[in-house]
Amino acid sequence: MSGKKDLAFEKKRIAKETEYEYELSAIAKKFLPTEKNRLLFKTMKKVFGMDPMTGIDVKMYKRGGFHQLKSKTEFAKWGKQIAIERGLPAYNRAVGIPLGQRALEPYIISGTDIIVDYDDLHHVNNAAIQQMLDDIKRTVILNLDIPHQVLQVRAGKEITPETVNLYLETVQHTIGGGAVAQEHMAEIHPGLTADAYCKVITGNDELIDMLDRRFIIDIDKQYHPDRAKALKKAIGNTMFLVARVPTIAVRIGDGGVVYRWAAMQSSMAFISAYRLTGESIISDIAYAAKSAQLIQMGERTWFSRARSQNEPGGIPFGYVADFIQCFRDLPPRPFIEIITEDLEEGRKYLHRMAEGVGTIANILDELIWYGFYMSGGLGFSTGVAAGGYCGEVVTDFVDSVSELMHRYMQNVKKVPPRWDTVRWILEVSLQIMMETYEKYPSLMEFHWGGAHRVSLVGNLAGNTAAMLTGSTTVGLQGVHYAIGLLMKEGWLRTGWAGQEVQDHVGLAYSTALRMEEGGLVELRGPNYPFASYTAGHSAGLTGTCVSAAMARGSSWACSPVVNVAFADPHLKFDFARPSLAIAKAALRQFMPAGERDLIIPSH
Amino acid sequence: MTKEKKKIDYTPQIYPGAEPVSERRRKIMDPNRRLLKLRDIPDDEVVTLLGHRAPGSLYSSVHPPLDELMEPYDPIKLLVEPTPGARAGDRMRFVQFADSFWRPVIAPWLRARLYFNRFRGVDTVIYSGREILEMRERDVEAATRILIETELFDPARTALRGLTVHGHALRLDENGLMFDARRRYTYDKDLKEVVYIKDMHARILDEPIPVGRPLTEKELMQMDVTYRWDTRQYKSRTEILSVIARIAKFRINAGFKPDLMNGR
Repeated sequence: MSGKKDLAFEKKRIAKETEYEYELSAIAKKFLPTEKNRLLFKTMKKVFGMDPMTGIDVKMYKRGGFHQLKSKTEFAKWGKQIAIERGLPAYNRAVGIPLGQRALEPYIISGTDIIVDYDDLHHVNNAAIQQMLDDIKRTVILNLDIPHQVLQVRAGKEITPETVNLYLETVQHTIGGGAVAQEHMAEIHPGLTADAYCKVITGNDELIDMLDRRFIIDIDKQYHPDRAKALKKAIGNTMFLVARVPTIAVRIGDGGVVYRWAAMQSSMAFISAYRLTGESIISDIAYAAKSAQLIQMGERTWFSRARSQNEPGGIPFGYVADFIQCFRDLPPRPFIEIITEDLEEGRKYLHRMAEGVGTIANILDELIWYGFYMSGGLGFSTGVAAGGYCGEVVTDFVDSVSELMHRYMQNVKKVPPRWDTVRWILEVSLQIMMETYEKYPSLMEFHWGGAHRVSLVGNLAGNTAAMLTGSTTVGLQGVHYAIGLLMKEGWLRTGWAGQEVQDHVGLAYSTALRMEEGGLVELRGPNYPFASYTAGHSAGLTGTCVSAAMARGSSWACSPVVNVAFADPHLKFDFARPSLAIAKAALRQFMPAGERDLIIPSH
Repeated sequence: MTKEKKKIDYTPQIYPGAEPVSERRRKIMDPNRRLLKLRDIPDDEVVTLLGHRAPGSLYSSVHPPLDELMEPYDPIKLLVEPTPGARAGDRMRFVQFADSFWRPVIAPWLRARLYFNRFRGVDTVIYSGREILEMRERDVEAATRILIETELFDPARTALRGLTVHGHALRLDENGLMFDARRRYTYDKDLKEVVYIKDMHARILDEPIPVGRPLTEKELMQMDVTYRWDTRQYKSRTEILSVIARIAKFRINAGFKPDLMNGR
């Protein structure tokens, strides 16, 4: 209450709180036209076909039901046909609620002009999403130095470029199911395992020169020169063998089959290439090939969520960050330098981050692990994941945040990873994103569930903190603070049933290194006990690994070897342009591996 | 000689902040403050809307009345007075509300705090758009009456939804009503009120039940319990922000041992 004199009327005037609030409302509306310049305005207008800032949908309940979507019309037709053919009801739109009373909006894949139906992004309907998971699951990395030492020391064999090349040629044959040592082995039709192969990673240029180039993942060719230099230095003289077992193997078995398959076939290639025979040396070679310095993409998960190795729940966030290849052609410079110097260049990095985290991390953790593996849900998590890579929402948000950084962080060389220094950017970035939802009813409808908003808004705010400090721990704290406190108290809602449970305990555990409490963010996965029941955070934690690496100007987030393993052009899924691969699959233009056409009747 | 312990007077602050949003939240959460009654819904209509039993029928019970039960000695039972439903042995039933995102008079997390502060014998689960409240049957009926008749209910932006709760985040229909895929309610243009044509479980009612007029935009702006860009902004001057930042800082620095922060 103010008792001050009103200068205009020279009398005492008492300002009422409500008066001030309505004034604010009127002023705020004057700024609305500037919103029309936002990317979000344009995409939401395209998606909903009307002013995206209008809160009323006059056509609600009068939109023609499920026929709005081509996919659902097709499903209804198929469901009828299947029911007739098998004499048993199948997909049937006559049961359940009448779908399509609201606008069944199409989805624009961010970074592309491709518009698809929502159903096309379901993991069972999208071959690229399946292949992404398959490509991760079917990868293990074996170390070749130890088997080479065993061969030299125990078997007295000489290791030369010729023998190594012979081994590499042999392993391409065995990894796909070809026999080398016995006549009575049943072999696999090579057409079924055409996606199986092995490649070498090393940081030593001399070694590279001695090897057949076809068997090398060429770091120089795949990365920006500065990144390549840093990666090669980190990998050094060691030779790693990246084994890709065929997709059909993980379709029949699981991720745990992969290291066994790879080790067995690698051992057979050693036996053949070095003419080994059935002595104790074989068990040493097998151990060296199978277990010594074996890098799996994921560890076993704990009992109540029991899965084998190389399954999504056991993949550390740091590895997921290294699967993301969207940056590899960009120079590795500390992000704060880039964003303060050149806004557009900074945005380029952020857009790449948005694409990588929005697709690979979101799909792997939210759609596949939480939505499919853990809860058995078929459908709800599609939307949560799609929120991260559709409608240019993340792109728009990172544009806003980047402008903020560019404007207010000039002359800042380093941001110390301290709570007091990152709090403002956390709060401001979260406020921008929350206010965007408030201004755009269409965006609220697009992200129709709290989980969408939690996994996007909270995670991006946390990632911003990591992006400035280079600390994943600060990023993690930012994610927890943004979701569990900031967003919750602003709107008095978060996501599905107690979504912020892990944020409260997570803040207190954020610096704990005990395994059951989390550990370093790069080495955590969605599998540690207190975090394993509430979704919507894992993509953000992968995001903190990516953002912190960007902040440090690092060429990898957790493992240079894993990073290089996914810079392989022979992979079926494109880890550098994941959005495009998913969009192509939605248009039925993506060819996956693991087909069975060769062994089934023509159809 | 033992020193006599000084009695400390403690008045719960309930919620921090002096601005209207904090005040709304504080009022709703404070069990000592009366909620404004905006409409009157007959008992039978509350029962009909809930759809658990036919109006006038007896309550089903899962155990005999507590007064007739011979129970083993338990000191807790002496301390906690049973709710009427528990005393009678009623079965557990529920009421579930969806709260629109657009200027809600109440929102899920505030519901939880309200339920715990004002009701007894509750079990609740909080989602982004809806909240379920489970209680003994006659208790849930009594609670529902409060939740529908008072300022905690806007017929357009708050809705009874036993199933298919989706809709809180969607744009509103042409009459300003929250989307409901089951179309349990509609706006009666003659009556100028929202009428329920289906019960909470989306079963068609014999007679529509009017639940009052939708609140106006101006009323909703005053009653909104959330911070919003065009009314009460969520900015650094908002007291709640400094409180939650302090909570976060304490949790990070002191974990589960808050005395580490004594004096800081």
